Amino acid sequence: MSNSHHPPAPSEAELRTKAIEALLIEKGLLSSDVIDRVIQYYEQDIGPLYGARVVARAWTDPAYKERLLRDATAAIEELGYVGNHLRVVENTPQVHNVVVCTLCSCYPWAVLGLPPSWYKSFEYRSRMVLEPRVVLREMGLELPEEVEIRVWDSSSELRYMVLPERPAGTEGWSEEELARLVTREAMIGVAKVQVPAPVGGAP
Amino acid sequence: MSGAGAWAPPPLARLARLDEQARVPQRNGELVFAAPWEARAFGLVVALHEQGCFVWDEFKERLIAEITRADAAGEPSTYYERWLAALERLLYDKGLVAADEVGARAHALRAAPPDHP
Repeated sequence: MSNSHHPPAPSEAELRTKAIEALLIEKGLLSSDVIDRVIQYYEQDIGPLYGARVVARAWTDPAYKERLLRDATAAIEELGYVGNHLRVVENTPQVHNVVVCTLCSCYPWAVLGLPPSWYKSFEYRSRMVLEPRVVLREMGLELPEEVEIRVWDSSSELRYMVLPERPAGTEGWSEEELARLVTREAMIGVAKVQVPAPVGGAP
Repeated sequence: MSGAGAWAPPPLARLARLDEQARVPQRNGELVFAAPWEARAFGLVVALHEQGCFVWDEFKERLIAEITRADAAGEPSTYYERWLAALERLLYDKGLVAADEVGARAHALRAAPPDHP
């Protein structure tokens, strides 16, 4: 059967993908260079950086935060990014928001980059709505019983991003410093923003 | 349709690339794609969309239909296998590529992989 000394034969999906790419290029519909740039852009360049900057601005500018929660698309455009069909929901000490897409994997790519693989898993999509507190605990986020959990189901018409709580001990930090703390997980709502423990003094 | 034109990321993306220091922590280091073909399949859909070959919802509808169908059937297929199935459906429905062309080309690639070491 399989021989561990040789690389595995290409899967059917891999062959079909190659076939489609070759045919589209031959028909003049695409060039492989365009495909390369698209992949690089979404995989490496965006990441969750834009979303993190939006969060940091909202933490440092209360008027901006108000605009962001009222009309996320317009507020995100103010920073030069694109956030179509997007709503931002705010975490508070009383309310914790978490985002899921039960149907597929709707996700605000333009501000968060590509979704992590667990976001697309059947388990996450099916269980987060039914038992969010349990799923969050399994993912390492233990919330007090009195905190209300709101689960937002994304669709192609409307996607959600969580505005996490600003961590204590970050008073006086610059927007860029704050943005570096904000993780993709925090903006999906499966984690809180943490301040890393100082190692031999602050940077 | 602009064909194989130049797709350029928005200017801010280039700016962000320069701004290495501001790279957000990718603390879990998780790979977005499990295999290179998944990235290609992803890039194909986005590139075709960027070039105006379809509107996004035309793909999204087919992806949802494929995921719903595969979930209901209990198929062990992966997310990007379903993504690829949705792309194929869209290409055939739009008449951009024919199913038998893809089948024949995939068969030929299996017989003689062009990049075989």
